[in-house]
Amino acid sequence: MITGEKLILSIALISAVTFLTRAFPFILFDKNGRKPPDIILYLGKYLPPGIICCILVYCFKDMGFTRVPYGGREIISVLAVVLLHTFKSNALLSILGGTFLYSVMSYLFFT
Amino acid sequence: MLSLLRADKDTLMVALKSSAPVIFGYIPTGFIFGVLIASAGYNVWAALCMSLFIYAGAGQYLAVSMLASGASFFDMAIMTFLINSKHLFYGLSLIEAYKVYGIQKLYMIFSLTDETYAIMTNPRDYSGVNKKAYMALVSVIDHAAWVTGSVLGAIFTGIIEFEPVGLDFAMTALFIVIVIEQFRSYKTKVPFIAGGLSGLFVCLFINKGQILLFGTLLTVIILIIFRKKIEADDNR
Repeated sequence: MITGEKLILSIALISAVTFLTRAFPFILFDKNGRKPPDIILYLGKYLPPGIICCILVYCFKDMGFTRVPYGGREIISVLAVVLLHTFKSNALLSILGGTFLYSVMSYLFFT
Repeated sequence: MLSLLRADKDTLMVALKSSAPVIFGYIPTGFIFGVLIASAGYNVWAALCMSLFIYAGAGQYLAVSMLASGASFFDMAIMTFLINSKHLFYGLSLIEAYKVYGIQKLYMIFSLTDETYAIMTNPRDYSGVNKKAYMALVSVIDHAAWVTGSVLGAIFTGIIEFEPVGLDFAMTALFIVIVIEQFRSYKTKVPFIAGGLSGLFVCLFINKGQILLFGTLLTVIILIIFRKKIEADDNR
């Protein structure tokens, strides 16, 4: 177990590495008065939907289709969010509605 | 954060509303981090410092096991880089938007987590909102929620048994809502298909722990290959 001075250094090191990965595109392409290369602007525009679809897959990576409850909670809650948002277009309502449903199902059936 | 002090009430309310799902998500997931670090034998100050200065979900969960097992500095740097490498791409979409910041840009970049990135890149109507203050407020609110959850988790470990069941679904719901809104605003649907299929491919055939890094890389490659089609679709 790391303690004392080495603990402080470790936290500083992990913080620095984390910051540098986030700063990477800014260090490379954020030059004053100069536009980033065309391909970077292109990726910057079209990457967000791609990345967020990836994150969505990641959110469901541990869902079990082959064991009880066969991903039932997730499927019902996702449907609720999609339907609420398609017809009501109120982000907070969709998110709270889906989360409430998921949370209630979790309490009722899994605790 | 001077721009925050100039935020009007409307901007603050809009920022709180956008951040609400992240607050619901970060308090329980931060809480879990607090429980983990406290159970590994560290005190609340370690939890506070880590969430304040590192501010990365998966990175901090990993840090707990590296600290507890006494990993070397070299291993810590490499492992932290690998688990955060998805972030290498996030800033690409925000270079222009963050140009308005001076020294505060350092904080904006530091606080660019998955969830904050999703809110920042979510197409929205900024009329009646001070965009600069809005983005700074969202960053600070999300960070504060994460720190609060972590500290609570560390404090409550061993005192009471409490498990916030299912509340972290708020973050999944947030991402679904953002995908729907992006789907409405982009004429081309190729990036969605590219990202979803890349993620599924990595999940099923490579390693589900690496969905974000390899999925993003694969998406970048597909986007470059289909550039002509995507730009043609979008400018129809």
